[in-house]
Amino acid sequence: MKTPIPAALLLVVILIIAIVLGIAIGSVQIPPRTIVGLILDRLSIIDFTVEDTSKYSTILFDIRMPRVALMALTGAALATAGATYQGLFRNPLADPYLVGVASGAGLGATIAITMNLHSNPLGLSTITIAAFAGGIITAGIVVVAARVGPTTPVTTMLLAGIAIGSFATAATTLLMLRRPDGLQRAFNWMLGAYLGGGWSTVQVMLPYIMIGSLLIYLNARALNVFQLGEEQAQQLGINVERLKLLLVAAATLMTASAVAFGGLIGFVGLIVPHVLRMFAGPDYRRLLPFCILGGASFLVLSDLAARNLMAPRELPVGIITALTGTPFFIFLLRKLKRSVF
Amino acid sequence: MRTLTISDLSVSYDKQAVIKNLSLTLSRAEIVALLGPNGAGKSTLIRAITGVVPVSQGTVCLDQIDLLSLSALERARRIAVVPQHALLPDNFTVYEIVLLGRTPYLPLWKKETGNDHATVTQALQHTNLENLKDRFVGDLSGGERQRVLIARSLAQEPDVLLLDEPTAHLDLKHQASILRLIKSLATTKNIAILLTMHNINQAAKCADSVALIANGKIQSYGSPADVYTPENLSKAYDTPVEVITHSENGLPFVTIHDTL
Repeated sequence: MKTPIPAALLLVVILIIAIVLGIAIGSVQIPPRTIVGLILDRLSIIDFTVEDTSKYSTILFDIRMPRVALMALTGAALATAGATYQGLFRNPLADPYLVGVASGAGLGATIAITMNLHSNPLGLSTITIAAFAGGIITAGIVVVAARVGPTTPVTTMLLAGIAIGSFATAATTLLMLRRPDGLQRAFNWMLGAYLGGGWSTVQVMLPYIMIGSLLIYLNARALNVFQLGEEQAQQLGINVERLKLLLVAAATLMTASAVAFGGLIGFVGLIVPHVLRMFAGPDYRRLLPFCILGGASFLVLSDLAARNLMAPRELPVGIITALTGTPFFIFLLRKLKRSVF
Repeated sequence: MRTLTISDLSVSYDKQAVIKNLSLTLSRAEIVALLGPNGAGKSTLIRAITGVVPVSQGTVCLDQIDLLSLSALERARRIAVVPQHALLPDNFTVYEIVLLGRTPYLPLWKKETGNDHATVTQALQHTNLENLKDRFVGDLSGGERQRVLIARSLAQEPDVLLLDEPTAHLDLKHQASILRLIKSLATTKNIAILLTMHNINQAAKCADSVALIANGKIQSYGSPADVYTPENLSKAYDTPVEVITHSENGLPFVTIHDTL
């Protein structure tokens, strides 16, 4: 089990393959030769012109590539945030939506939909911005509500997350029932139907994911120490309260941006960290890079399946992640002799 | 030479005073045992010294440095703790757990250096764990786990070592080996050691001085021979006890007076 370098290399190779497949395969068939030619042409290495170049070029550079990039970022964000919450709460059932980000984002999106808010700052849809804000605000309320004196106990945070999450979900349902015309749009958003934002989406999302994962990675060893419980972590020199707030903030930032652009994609943040833990071991300094690579690969491949299985109809990617991931995870779980968490 | 000075320390939980104006000093290479009934405040004292529970009054100084005003990181370089019910994740190896003892010297992203690994190896040698270093802690016995925690504390290179019930739940053989280890650490490492114990007879063998605590106060302090009087102990534990002098080593031996 303890072969971190080959496993890391394998993950890089898998990610490259996933990206290549994600770009190459779609409902419109583009000959491989054309794809290579167009990319080399774009990089000004060769001059490539064939018939229909512009049509192919648009599909390749403006639709598929940003879509793959968006999926890679979303997968990396959800897996990293999930691993962080699992470590922070020392709970294998923790997922990125634990502190109410998903239900808050859902509420934000629904408010924007039912109130028919329209404006496009930064070229983003209002729904996306409202969802992002809703997620961040809800997580903030959860953390504030969970404070007991100068500390924020993780169990209180967990319970507050569930309670406030349920409240937001109820409010969302109420809004939807009052404005049934917005129902379909709200569902579409939740299933990730706002993926077509192109490169501007990727540009907006990238800094959040980068800052979030950097903050978490810098504290990877502290997360290891955290596995001993808060009291021992403090006795080993960790500023426990600061670490908790920092990690929740970083993970929330990543999750909120993932949810706002990609909708509610289940499973990735819960199971991908567990699968990778089987290969990376418990050390977060190995696990977190694994999560970035593995989460990205898994979602790019799932999206590939979602786009092509019933083409030209697209399936919600969350269906694919659960249908393929669960059996694989159960298989690994059965094969494993030692508990991973 | 004095190292740890606790002066006028008070700790309250929900306005209920658990430790009241307690003062105690510890020198290097000295072992002091905290004795007393359940709920007397022994564990609270240890948690207060390490900054885990807030102190309402008083100071804890190491030489001239006020420990309670230090950051957790600075404090952990000076004081190490072996907690009573320590949570240890099963899937960490012995080596990985002991390496976590280097945390106070490794802020944020800094990677462990050769020096850190050398310190860990030394700590494993001291605690006789070299052969177990690649074992998962989930597979260890109670005595081995306790040695892992002591090794992790040594990796912190502390001036003061605090142990909360280090021999609880161990059989006689492992109790003896842990106490022997603690005693040798005090002298070879020149560390001041403060430990809580329920077994007063073993405390008499291991400690240089004992502090009898009841109701958050030190009722009696001194050598076991001075502190272990039937009056002192009967009052502190609220139960009649008998004190016999051991025929060979001359140490007091305490037993319950009543026939059960």
